[in-house]
Amino acid sequence: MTEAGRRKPLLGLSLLILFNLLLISVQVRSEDGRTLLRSWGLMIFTPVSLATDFVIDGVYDTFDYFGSLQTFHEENSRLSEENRLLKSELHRLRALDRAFDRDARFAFIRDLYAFDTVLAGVIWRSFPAYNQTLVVNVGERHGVRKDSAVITADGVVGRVTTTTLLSSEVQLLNDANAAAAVTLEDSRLQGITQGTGGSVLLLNFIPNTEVVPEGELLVTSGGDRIYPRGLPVGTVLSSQRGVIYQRISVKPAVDLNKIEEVAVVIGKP
Amino acid sequence: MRVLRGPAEERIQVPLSGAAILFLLCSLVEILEGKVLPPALHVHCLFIAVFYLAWYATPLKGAVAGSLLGLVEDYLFDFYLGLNGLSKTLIGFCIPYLSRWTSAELGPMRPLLIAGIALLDRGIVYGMLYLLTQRGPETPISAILSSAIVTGLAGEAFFRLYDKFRFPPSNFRRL
Repeated sequence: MTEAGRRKPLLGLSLLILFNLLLISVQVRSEDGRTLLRSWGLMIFTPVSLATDFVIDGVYDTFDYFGSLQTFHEENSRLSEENRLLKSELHRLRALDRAFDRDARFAFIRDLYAFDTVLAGVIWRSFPAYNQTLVVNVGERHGVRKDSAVITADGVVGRVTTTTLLSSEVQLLNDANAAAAVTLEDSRLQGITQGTGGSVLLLNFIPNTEVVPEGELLVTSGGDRIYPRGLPVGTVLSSQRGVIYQRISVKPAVDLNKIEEVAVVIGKP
Repeated sequence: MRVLRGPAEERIQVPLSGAAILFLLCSLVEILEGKVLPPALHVHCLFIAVFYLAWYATPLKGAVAGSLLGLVEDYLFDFYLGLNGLSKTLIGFCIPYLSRWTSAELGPMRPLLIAGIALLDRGIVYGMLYLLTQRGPETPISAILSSAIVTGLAGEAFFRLYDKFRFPPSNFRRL
């Protein structure tokens, strides 16, 4: 028998089965009243319809994507330029903000302490293990003299030890050779801070009989004729009894490792 | 009577007029016995007709005969049109192959074969009905079994009688 001859009965059988199934499907109804033919039709054609939609949408999206590439490129260039401008604007505004902040802080110092200061930027800093000094970009030409007090809005930084025409060397409060006359703000006890070369100061000449609470503020007393009276120096970290005087550790009011700009007091404090 | 030569063996076919008479007779008997006999003794005459026609026919003709007689049965017994049509199409298609694969003289096995296939026919019909409507058969299973056995016996009797009528011994005496 040929291939076509073998297929003929099967084809006939398929047609007859299909015919009978169609007959059944137009008579039987589902619970919602639809004929089985309609339900089967929905069952068969819904995935086909979904697949067709998927393919058509995919093709459309692909063409749309490639068509939009030029627009994306232009949009990207525009946004990049805008981003660059905004960044430069941001940097400018930050610089302005810093300048305003700095001016505001030093204006505050002038108003608060009523003495003349000159603003200075730090241009050099010593190696910490050697000594605690820095160099600022103001000198004799700006009215700076030896022993001029150097401060920030937070408190005392140190004193000028050497001056040139356009720069000055500043000895920080935590230098081992530095000292300042101070008063404990609440108890009004007088003492002298001494640098340790590290991050803390020592407060000397407070008798063992006095009680010094942790966190009490130290301000300059003006007794050393260098620092104007009333500037914050630091706060008490801890105190230990000594032979006669207590051994008191003080945390500086200014973070001496992060100084970028200072004010130098000119004229008599 | 036409004698057709098949590829492997000679196939004897029932004449169209004979098939028509068979079909009318079976329909009549089906209607009458549906009203008189209980379901357990119901002889599926139309099934026997399909079996007989397909036994001597090609698979395609068997399927066509099955489909037509099945549709008639659906119409007569108020089934969904196509239920018996579908089952008898399948059976009409398969019986010619069975007739080739089994020996011509089945002896006592033929009634069993007819009964088995009648049971299969009922199984397909009620299975389809259950799939479509979620309802089982109204006739009890014992009655269906009994009806299949009765159909098997009646089918065998029909085969013997009708074959005797179609192939009278006088024809063979001339050989």
